Amino acid sequence: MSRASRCSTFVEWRGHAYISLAMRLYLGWVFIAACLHKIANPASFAVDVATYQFLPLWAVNFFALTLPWVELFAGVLLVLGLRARAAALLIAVMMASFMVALGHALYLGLDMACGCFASAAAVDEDPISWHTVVRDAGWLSLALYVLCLDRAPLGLDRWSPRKGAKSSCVA
Amino acid sequence: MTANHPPPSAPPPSHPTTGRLVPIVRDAAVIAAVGSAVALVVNAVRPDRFPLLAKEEIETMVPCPEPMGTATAIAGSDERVRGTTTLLVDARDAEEFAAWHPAGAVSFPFDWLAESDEVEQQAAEVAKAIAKSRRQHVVVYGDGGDPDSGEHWAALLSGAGIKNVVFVKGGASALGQPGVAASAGADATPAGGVP
Repeated sequence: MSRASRCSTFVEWRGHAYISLAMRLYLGWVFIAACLHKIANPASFAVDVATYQFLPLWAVNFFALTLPWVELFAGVLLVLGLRARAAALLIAVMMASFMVALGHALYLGLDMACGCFASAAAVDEDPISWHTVVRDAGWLSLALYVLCLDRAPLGLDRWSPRKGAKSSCVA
Repeated sequence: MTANHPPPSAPPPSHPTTGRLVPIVRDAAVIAAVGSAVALVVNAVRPDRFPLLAKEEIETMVPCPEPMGTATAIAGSDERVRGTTTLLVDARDAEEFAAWHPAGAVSFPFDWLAESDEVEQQAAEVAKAIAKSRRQHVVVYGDGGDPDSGEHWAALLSGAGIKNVVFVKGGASALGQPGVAASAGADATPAGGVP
């Protein structure tokens, strides 16, 4: 069997959908859990965002308002399996951005909370560290798995196939 | 009439990856746009509406990074505590130092609330004191609490480039504060002074 054929067989493997389902449920739960506090307390989350010293002042509030809702939508769609790969792409982009912001804060030596699940007041419970970056990298890899290998996600996507959905596969 | 010119060439195939990725990117953009729109609508109707643009600088409470080094813990009975080449640094506050301190100790009270530039300045003073005294080791002791001011001060001094810094685990009480005859008053060394 040629290398290209083996690669194709791996990509076409139907088991990816089941592995991906577990990853989607986990990632979806993480993002839904992460956004609830931020949605309820945008002012508190804005302080967290500002603490990273990464965004210009004019963008802080807008970002703090909209990001949690995007997290919520992406998390719910991942769980439901509706436009799951698009949701995975969004999560991958968010995770990559968070990792850049975390790396920047760690480079500056800021002793602060992650702000991922609670406010900056919880610095003792969730301080940023290189472990946080590794954790985010793990979530990023899960999102990339769903994006690249879950060609037919289990969930609502199967009941509402879009015209030409099959050609929308990346892999 | 025969056609001699070649048949029209077929249109070039679209890029395989780009063609497959575009719908997913489009869907992701729609999800992000809808999520953002919902966020703005919800914010507009909530009673404690959050301003879209920050007009004033947001005050953040992030401690400035301090140059923490590593300091080894030693027991109160360690010979380095009484060594002739040792500078014994008391990290407790001045009152505690005045009430009791081991002979030969110097007071460099550690202030938990000090700004990082003040800490740097104090570390520089300790470095000067060490250079003056020609001691080779620095043994720091604090209140022995949790966190221990002695341990923290020792780590800061180490981070400031001072070599051979250790701290006494257990702080002043490990040096015999209650039982050992206090030398308060008799040989008290003023803050920052080296005997």
